[in-house]
Amino acid sequence: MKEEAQARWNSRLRLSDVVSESLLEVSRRPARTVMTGLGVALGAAAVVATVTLVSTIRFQVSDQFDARRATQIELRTRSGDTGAAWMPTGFPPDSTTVERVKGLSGVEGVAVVRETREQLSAAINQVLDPTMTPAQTKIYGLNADALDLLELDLFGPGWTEWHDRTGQRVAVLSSATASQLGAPDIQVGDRIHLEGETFTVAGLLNGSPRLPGLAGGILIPLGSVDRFELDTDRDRVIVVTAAGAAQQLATVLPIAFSPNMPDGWIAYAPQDDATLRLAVDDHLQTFALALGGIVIALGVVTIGNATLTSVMARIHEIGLRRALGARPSHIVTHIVVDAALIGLVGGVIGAALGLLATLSVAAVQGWVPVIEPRILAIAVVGGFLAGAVAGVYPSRVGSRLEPTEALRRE
Amino acid sequence: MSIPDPIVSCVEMSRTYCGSVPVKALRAANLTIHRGEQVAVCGPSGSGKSTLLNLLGLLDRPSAGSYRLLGVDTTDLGERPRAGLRAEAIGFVFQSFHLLPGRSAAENVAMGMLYTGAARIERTNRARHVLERVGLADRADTDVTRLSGGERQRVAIARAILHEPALLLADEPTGNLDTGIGSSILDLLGELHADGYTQIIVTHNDAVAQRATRRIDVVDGRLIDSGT
Repeated sequence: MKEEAQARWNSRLRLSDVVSESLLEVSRRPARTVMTGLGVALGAAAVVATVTLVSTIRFQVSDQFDARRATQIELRTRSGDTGAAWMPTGFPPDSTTVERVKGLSGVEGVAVVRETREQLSAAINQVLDPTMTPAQTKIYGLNADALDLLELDLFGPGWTEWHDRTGQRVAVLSSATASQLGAPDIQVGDRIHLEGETFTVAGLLNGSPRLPGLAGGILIPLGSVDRFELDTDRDRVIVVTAAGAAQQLATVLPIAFSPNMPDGWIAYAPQDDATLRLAVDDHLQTFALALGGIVIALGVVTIGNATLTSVMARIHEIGLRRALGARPSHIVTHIVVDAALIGLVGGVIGAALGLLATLSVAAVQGWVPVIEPRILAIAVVGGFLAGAVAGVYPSRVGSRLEPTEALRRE
Repeated sequence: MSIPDPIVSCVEMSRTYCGSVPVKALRAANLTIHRGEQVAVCGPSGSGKSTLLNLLGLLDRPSAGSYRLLGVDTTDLGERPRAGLRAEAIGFVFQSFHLLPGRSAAENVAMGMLYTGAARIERTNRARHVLERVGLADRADTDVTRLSGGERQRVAIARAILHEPALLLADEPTGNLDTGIGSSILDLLGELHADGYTQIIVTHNDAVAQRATRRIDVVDGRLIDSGT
């Protein structure tokens, strides 16, 4: 008989009714819903804003630095590196070697740089003004390709491969160097004197992003620098590569330069900072998630408190629902879903606020915002789950109320 | 479904509230109520009327004795079938209506079958039909907070009969209403009785008891059946 009753009499609550009942409850007091969900909203906003801002900043950093950092290999001779006595390794590389290297897939060009051992005397219009004291400066020899490959910001023609091959006496210098020489308003075509030899100014240098040190000296063709005493320890070849190819090319370039003696060269590829940056990003993301988690935890407490207060205020309703056939588990479901919906509202508001913060910062900074839809979904779902968690304790309190007690307490 | 008879059968049913001083709210009650009866349970405050109603409505469990509802021994019945019986076999009318504010009359009435698993559309259609039955067809979409006391009690009665329960329990249904409106509510309950609803009405109002087909007095937790 009891089994028969168990099977015959059974209260049932449809999922759609659970949702519609909660929607009614949540929408009945929209201001309370929003205010209650604000704790979760702030947490979600913190997570979304921090994660998307980290992504956005990372993108800007990558955009500005990756091209140079990942496309440049510096090669030095082993003797230059250690000072050990090595057989000559073919520096500077001849045109055949350069062409061979340029033929490698991913190589965009080869820049050769030499520099003088000492600060050499340089002067402007020394002939016209013999009383002027010459300044001391470094002199760098560069092949013609280097002017483009090293992305020199140059005003003036510079020099060509012919100037280089024939040892023409042309020079490029920055305005800072010109000032040092006492002629800040120097023009292309003016003459300067290096160790007593006259050179024609073929360009004014405004910047040298790949090798910033060049801006502090005077640049002349590689074929002309031999006339001065060179610091061979500083001899180097800069190979510019396609993006992402530097790491791999660094392993084969010594062979390409000296097939018979590859050990004579050392290739310095840029450190693969992607891993480092990822680690930094991970830390930032962890920080963001931890911060957001703390705020969300506060939000959970807020919703939990508000839900508990709401349960206390709705005791008679709980009694009524029990009288209408609700089981304790139905009461739990109602209260948890109510809280979860409030959390969901908080999550949506938080995602929107976080997104707005990132877009605002990006707009002010002129950055391209990087928004991962996944983080928005996580914020919304996280808000929902946080609300549900917040509703667990109040729901237990509500479900344990005796219906007679609940109906009487109103 | 044919309704078993008797609907209510209590044997030596008692309810004692535990505490520092145990209170015997209901003492060895023997009660049988047959299909179609309208029973008034009368007595002063604290006599045990509401305790009896709560036990009959399966909102509470007896401390001793047995209670059969529709032939089902509810004494040791689990919460699931007890809730099922409340959802499908019992209708409650409360003194203070217990309507949910912010919802329309139809939405409140539709709650009467919320826990029966009936589809929302079916509940809504039946709610409008029942509201028409209690004379509130034109107030179906009105927020219950904007209804008069009498209208609210009619909505509460409509909710209680939405699922055509075998047993309608009313706890002081006119307690919060003035005489005229209370009388109209009693008229409505009388009509429902005429329609075949078995009713137990708890009241301390003799006028209410006089309309019932049977009167039971509760004095210090003991039932005194005055018969029809």
